[in-house]
Amino acid sequence: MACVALFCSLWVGLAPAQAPAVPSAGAVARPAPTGSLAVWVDAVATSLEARLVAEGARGPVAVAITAGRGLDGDKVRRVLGPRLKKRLAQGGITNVDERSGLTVRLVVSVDAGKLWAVGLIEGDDLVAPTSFAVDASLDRELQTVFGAGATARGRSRWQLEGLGVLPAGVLDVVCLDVDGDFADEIVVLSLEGVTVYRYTAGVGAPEKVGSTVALPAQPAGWPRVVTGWLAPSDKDKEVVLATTAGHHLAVDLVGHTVRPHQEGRVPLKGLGPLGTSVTWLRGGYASPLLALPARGADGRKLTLPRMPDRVRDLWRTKRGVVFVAENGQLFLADDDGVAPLLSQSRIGDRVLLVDLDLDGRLEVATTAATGEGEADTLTLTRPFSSPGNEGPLFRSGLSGGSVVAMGVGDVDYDERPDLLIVEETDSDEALLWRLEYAP
Amino acid sequence: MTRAGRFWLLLLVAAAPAAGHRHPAPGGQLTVSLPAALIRATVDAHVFAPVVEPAVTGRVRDRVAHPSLDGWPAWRSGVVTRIDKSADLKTWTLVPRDDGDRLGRAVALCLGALGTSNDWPALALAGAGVRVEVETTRKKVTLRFTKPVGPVPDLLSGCLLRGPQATGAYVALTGGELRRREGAPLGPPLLSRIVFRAPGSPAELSGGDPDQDFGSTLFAPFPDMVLLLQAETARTADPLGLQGKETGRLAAFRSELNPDMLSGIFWNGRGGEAVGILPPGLAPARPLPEPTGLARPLTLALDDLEPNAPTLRMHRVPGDPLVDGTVDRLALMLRTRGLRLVIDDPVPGPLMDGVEVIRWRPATLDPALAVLQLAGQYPEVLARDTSVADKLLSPDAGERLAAALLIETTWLEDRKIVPLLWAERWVSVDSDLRGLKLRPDGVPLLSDAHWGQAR
Repeated sequence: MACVALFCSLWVGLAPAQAPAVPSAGAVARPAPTGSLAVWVDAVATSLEARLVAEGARGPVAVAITAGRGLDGDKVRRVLGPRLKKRLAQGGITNVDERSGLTVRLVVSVDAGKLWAVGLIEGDDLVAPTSFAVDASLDRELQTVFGAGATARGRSRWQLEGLGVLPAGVLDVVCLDVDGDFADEIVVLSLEGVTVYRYTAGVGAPEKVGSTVALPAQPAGWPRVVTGWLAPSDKDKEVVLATTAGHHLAVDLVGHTVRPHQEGRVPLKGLGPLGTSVTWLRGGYASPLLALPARGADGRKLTLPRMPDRVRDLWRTKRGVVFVAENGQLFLADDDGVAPLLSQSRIGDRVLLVDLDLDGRLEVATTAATGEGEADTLTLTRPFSSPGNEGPLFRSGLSGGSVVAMGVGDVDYDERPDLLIVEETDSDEALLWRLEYAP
Repeated sequence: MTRAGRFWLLLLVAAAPAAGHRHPAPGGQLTVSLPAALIRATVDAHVFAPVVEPAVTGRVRDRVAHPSLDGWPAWRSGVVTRIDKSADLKTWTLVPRDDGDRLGRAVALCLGALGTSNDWPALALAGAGVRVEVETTRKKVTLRFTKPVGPVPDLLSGCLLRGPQATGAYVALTGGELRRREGAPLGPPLLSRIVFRAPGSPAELSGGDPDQDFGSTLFAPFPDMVLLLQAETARTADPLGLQGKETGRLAAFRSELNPDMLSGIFWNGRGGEAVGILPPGLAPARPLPEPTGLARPLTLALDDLEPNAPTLRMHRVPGDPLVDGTVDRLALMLRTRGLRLVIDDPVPGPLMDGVEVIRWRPATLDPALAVLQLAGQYPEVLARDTSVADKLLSPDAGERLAAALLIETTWLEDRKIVPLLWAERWVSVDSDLRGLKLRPDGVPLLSDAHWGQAR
């Protein structure tokens, strides 16, 4: 009987490749997915939900993903796992819980020029296992995401790629998933305003998404020090910014609306990961220096190790706070006190910490010039193991200009962080670079 | 771009903040020691905003954030938003950023519309025989010139928005101190305080004293010129024997003067023989009248003079070691020729007799306006050549330069002005100070200056 049920389930499940959405009392409104990967993930989730509803299954599911022919298992899990989890949570029918007795075994493969996801649902009070299958044409985006046939194991390397040009006058950059396709867009704060760009593999320039949200003109214009700060907001698809011209704004990237926000405070993306999503230091008018204490979105002071009152930038980690001091030197502040983190005397205004190679250790990206008046050098180090005696993991002079902004996010669907660097040269355009770990 | 322009650009770039992409931090104090003659100009340059100033060079974001005036890519302003001109270049309109009355008064004073003015734009217009009327309303200031004037933005760069209140980057306090002003037109400056020390005192920025040579040395884009101006009577009497270019006396005169020795003794060796009136770096290399002939230099002697020896009155501003040394050398040369030199301070009004030794530097990077500035300063000596005067105010920079070089040659051949030597202008600064600029007239500009290390 069970075998018959399994056969019937497979037969029924394989027939509708793109299962229709199932209305549910628990479902919440969500934006329509855009982009091949998002559409495919949505189709997988919708099919899974449809089977669960049809079988009368309730509660969370444990999902196990494996890769079939032609695909890298780690990469498939990194790409699909979080996205499917997020999509199911949005759907309101089920959610992912690895302790659940209701399991979904999902196999992703490339067959006959198509991307397949075949799932088997079993366990708990299901009468018999049931399955579903979803396919999609392999377009450039999905090929980029899953890297079918392009993996090379056993080599460890960093890859720097020019992504094209941006208009000059870039002040800061953050990566944020604006269109819900599970890949981050590149949000650029410039003298003009806030502009969203999308990375597309194989295309020679970042694609501008929508129009620029202009910064309102300030009566006094820009001061002598021209810079700005940009960070994701607490709200979905919103960024907050501050500039030395005195802008303190929140910008809705979908509605293109602007509202005043936290006058006299500067949002720092480096404070976010361990605390509230938006944190603030005092500053923002005519000076690149920021003043402690740091505060969370609720206005409460954040507890930080003892450090100088004025800094240029800081990044909070589990080891302590890495900060760029007033004199441009990089320090680590932790429970043991404050100590120089890099032997380099001065770095750029900003610092960025990220685990680019996903080995569990943070890399530090700095942009110090190699000498007076010389071009900036992007340097990636891992100084925590032996502060002051760090060897660079990666160094590049880029194209001989000045690094004006850095951001981090996953812009190419591979679930690995990409370090984005904006370099200004003497021309009237800025160059956008991407540094990624490409094993 | 002229050599001067390239040099100025290079200087600005060289003096810009370096050390990678690191924004300067505001704060700190700077001590300054300058010669007395420069202190007033330096204070004014920081307390009163210039009506226009050179456009920002350097990083793209700074150029974009601080755009040039529409239609005038070389100039920006925190005081006016627009400059328009009529087709005949006789009427110019300035649109003020805020207070038209204050702008009108300041420009009228600076351009000489209210009477005599020692501002160089007024001198330049006077040198060209151009008068100006200024009409002011709240929303615009109209300049009406009696002749077409092309380089009006260049002239306005020499005008400060003077008034009872500070309009520039700093406000002056008692006791020789400037404090940063938050409401400065182009944003607050970076240094919090500028403190003036007595001339010759130790300071973090020192200028005008050849013995103060420390830290980094920042040279002005062109050197000072030490010139000999001859009144008509002196030129006719020719006590130095400079007339008659075919006799070769000018070459002998230069040999006797020995400018290299003078600059070596009195100016740290940073000077030399001058052959033109316009300083090198301001005007390009050009053919200048060459002394010819076989006259030999005299052997200088210290013999007693006859009691009734003829005299020559020589004016000079005392206190400048280089000028004083040059005057002493000229006294020796005249004594060898049997003349007694009477050294005197400058007299107010025209130079009617004798000669005057001046240390001159143009306040502008435009050679034509520099020539006009000199002509305006010494109208009695430098009669205008009306055939080229109009071209000195042409809108075309090349035409202005050609006219300036023609007038320079005329003055040199007439021996109205005898170039004696050139001498570098520099300031010595603490090596950690960044962003210092020098105005063409040698005034240090500190509005963008800052310390490399926090202080």
